[in-house]
Amino acid sequence: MVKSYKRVRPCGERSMLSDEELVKRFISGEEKAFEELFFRYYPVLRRFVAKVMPRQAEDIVQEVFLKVYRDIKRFSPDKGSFKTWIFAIAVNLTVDEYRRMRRRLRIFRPLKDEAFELPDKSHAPDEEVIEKERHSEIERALKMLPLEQRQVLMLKHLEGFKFKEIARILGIPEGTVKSRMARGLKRLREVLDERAFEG
Amino acid sequence: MRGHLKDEEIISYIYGEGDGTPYEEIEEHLRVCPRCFRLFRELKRSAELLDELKREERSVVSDRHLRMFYDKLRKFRARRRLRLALAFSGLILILGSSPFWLDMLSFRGDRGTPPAMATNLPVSISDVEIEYPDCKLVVTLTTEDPDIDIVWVFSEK
Repeated sequence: MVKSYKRVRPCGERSMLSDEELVKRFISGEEKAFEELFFRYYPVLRRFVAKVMPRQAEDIVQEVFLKVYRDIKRFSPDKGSFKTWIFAIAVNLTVDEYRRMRRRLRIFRPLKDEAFELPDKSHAPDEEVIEKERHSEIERALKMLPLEQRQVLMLKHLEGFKFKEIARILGIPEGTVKSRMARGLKRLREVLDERAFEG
Repeated sequence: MRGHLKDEEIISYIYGEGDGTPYEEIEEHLRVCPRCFRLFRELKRSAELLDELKREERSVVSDRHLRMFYDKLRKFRARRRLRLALAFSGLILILGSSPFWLDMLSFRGDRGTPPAMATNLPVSISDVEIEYPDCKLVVTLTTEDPDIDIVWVFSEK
């Protein structure tokens, strides 16, 4: 079934106002400012969360915005950007949900995250399909990394944060971020090599 | 000549976000140390692979998502109001009923004087204030001691 929406906004469509200005306006009672932030960050956050929890991504991101709506007054630009702040919320909620899911999986069946499985492979000899297949392979490898390494890799490569910002989001020292990054990249290569060797 | 480069140093160099070892020193070391150069190449290749994913991603958001959010917000507010009402009712029960029932239990002797809640209470409510939109309930109690007032704040947070 094809779903159609009244108005679809690509994530690139933005007003000229900075996040911090929008936050200020929202605090002073301008609801539209919140909606602007919502449209600005919803796709980015959903993409980020879906890398860890594809099925729950929508719910988690809604929860993130609920928290932002309630706690917006706690945001302080002196401690970092709004983007860093909202990602920190997303990371915390995702980790909580991830842990809850692991506990459930441990209780009911051996740990094999079916939530992480991707759709079936397609073998059409098309360049685009081959590229997609390659991306799926990288994604699968990424999902086999420990969560702490995966988060750092994603925040750096998908969201383009600086190491200092990642450190702030995760609440760890910058040196730890860099060592996780190195371990994650090494492990990613190992996993890809193993998979290539297997099949 | 120092030993091998640390992983963190190589990462800082790859991403251009170093604040320690100067890049010239790292480059010099990579030129002469095959082991560190191998590691550098391996990390850089993995990093380039991840960059491919970044190019692939495109996402959209629609008004449907915003409507879903406002639905969720409405439900959340309704739950919060209910919780606040329950907390307030509980407070009234605790403050009102307990002394009354305690009075009833301890009521002996003169049947002509029924227990009166208001006169026997060690404290009385002097002010109740509900603050929106923070959804905070502030109850001020006056005790028998004029110097002591008790302020209870019930809040979602």
